[in-house]
Amino acid sequence: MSESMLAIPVGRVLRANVTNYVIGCRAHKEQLPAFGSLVKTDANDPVFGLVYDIVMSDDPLIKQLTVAGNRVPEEIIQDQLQNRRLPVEISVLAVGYYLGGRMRQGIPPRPPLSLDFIFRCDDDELTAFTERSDHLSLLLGNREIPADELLVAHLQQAAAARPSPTDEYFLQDAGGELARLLAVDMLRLDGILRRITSEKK
Amino acid sequence: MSDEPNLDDFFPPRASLDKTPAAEPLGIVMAGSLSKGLDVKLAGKRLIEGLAVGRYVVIHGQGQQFFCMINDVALDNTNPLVEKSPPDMSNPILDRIHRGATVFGRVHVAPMLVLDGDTPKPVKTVPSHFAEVYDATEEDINRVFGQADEEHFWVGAPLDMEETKIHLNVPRLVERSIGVFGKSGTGKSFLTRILLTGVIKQRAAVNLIFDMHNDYGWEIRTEQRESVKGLKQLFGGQVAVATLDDESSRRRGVRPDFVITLGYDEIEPEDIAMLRQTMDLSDRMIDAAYLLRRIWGKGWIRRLLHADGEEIEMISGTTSIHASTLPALSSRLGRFRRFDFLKEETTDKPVEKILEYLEAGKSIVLEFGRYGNALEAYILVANYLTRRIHDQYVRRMEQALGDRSQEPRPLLITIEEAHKFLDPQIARQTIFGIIARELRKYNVTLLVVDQRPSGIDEEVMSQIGTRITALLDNERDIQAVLTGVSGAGGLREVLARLDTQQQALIMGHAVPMPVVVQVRPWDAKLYAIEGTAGDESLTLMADRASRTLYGDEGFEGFN
Ligand SMILES: Nc1ncnc2c1ncn2[C@@H]1O[C@H](COP(=O)(O)OP(=O)(O)O)[C@@H](O)[C@H]1O
Ligand SMILES: [Mg+2]
Repeated sequence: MSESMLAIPVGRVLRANVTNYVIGCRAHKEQLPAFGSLVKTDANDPVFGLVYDIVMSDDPLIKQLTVAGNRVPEEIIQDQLQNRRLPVEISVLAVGYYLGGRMRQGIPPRPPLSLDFIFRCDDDELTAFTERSDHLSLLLGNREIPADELLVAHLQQAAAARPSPTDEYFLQDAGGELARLLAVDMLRLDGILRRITSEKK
Repeated sequence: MSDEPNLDDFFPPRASLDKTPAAEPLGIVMAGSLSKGLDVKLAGKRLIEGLAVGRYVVIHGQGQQFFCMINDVALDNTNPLVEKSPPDMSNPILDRIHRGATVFGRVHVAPMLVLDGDTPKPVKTVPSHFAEVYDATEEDINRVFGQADEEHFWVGAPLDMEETKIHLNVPRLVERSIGVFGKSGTGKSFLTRILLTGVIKQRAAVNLIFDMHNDYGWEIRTEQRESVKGLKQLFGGQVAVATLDDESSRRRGVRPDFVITLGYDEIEPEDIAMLRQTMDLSDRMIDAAYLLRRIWGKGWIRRLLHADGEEIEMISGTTSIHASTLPALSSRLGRFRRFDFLKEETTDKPVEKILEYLEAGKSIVLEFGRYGNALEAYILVANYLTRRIHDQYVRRMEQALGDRSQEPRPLLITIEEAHKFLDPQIARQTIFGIIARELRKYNVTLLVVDQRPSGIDEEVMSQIGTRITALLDNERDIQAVLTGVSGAGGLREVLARLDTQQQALIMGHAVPMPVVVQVRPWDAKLYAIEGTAGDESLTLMADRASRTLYGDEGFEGFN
């Protein structure tokens, strides 16, 4: 991630509770955070979260355009792409927060506020946040989200944020923690571990 | 001397620094009990292959440290499913994740002692859950087994700690009888020689060694046909070599201090009775021997061997002895004719001579030369001499009336093939059985060397204070050496897994806890450290000096 991109907010908080929040943003492809990225609110005591869903809604015009085939003039399509009125909705799982100047993992005491700006975290922040792995149990226990996929994406990004060979040490430690948490479910553990280690980006 | 500040005033003493363990723990306590031992989960990084049974670990409990011995090593997991469908361990990261997390090593350790202050104490409790377990350090070992000093003698190293020395408390060693066991070729003779070196060097006892295969005195041949030094070469005048076979001794370059001959007339029926099994003597023959001794007096054997048919018939006719018994006894005893050390007439007083040396504080290696292969010669001579020397010791101890300064020097008698002397059927009557059982009452103890300890009488075995055993593979032998040892279950594993050579388990009176040692090598380094006469010229000088002191009376070899 380059410096210039960092300054640009992903979007603003649409709605939130302590475990999840949804960001609305424009549909610029480059600006959209990827599944599994770590984001944070812009407040003094930011709330950290992992992107676990990205939703594009439709409206009557889009419906018409999708069935109109190639009879639609190119300007209209471009206008839709550039200036969509409907926001892309990005769902975020809250996994950490700042309290008393310290980064903590877990559900924040308060949700972010509506219209708070949301930013992507850079490599340093991602590295710092993943120094500890207490948030992994939060993910594993969540049945509302594709937890295993999210976990794999998140750990791979966190590893990629680290220089070699610390990326491997990181995966080992995180893997060890997962093995402890998933001792009763070997198949699930095996599936996750295989993917975080073999699909290393 | 100078005004320089003393640095010791500013820094805490090293000892207290050393207490904080610098090393990483090898694992943590998972479970266990005082009676059955503790289970330790190995840290993921720790290679289970590096942890052999018999090694030491120290558990750092909350208040005290527990000195423990590993007696089993196992594989464990957090979920048995992982063993049914193993993860892809070809991926190095996966491999490292699973080791320590889902699969791990588990070692079983027996708490042996509590390290608390200077003297180790018996274990009465166990450390709590998750207490950290460390490899034992050299300092830990020394706290348990003692440091080299005038009482402690270095015998070997703990397993996988070549630089660390295990010491035996020699005065305690000779306080009770000692057993050295192990299969043939495991290093019993070498080990025994090392123990004897300690005993002679520390002057804990004088020795009488019945040396069956020329393993102790001078220029010993190893299995590799190399030549190593004997006790006489190390200690010069402090050790005398006696021989039954002057010719063999000289052929091997030994200059024996004296030659031993026995007169037929001196042999008593009691001496013959010990040969019951070896010479296949029946009870009738033994009875006949006693009877002949009564009728014919001292010359009974000679007379029997020379007796003609008429004389034998006469004896059979006038006594209760069966007609066939005497010819049979005569033919058995006729085997003695092969023994040139048995003389029709001799003015030699071997017992007196030996006692003289012992009294002067000199140990004696009695070489059997070619007679070492004749078990009946070995048993006859060892019994003959020991019975009489023991009698003298009993007499002198009784004369001393408890006055220590009047008591004879403690004597340690070494015999090989000990089960031939201490067989359950004869152990009650043989002198060796008696010595073993009377403990140290008359200042005589035994060092028995044997490859078949199951053949030794159980009661005698229970009196063997210190047992040192190399590899044994016969289940009954293993059981025999472990009788009466607490916590024997774990030791069985240890014992059956010793190396085939130069490793031994030491347990009993001379050590605070059972210990497996890599026996120190018997080599030039040992001669230099332990010998009073490390090199040849010194040996000769000491020899000469001793002859000047004690006269040449024992020196018949040159005639
Ligand atoms: N402590 C030792 N130092 C050097 N060599 C040893 C030692 N122990 C055993 N050996 C080697 O093993 C061989 C057999 O040992 P030995 O004492 O004769 O066995 P055993 O008396 O049990 O039959 C020796 O010849 C020697 O080569
Ligand atoms: Mg031998």
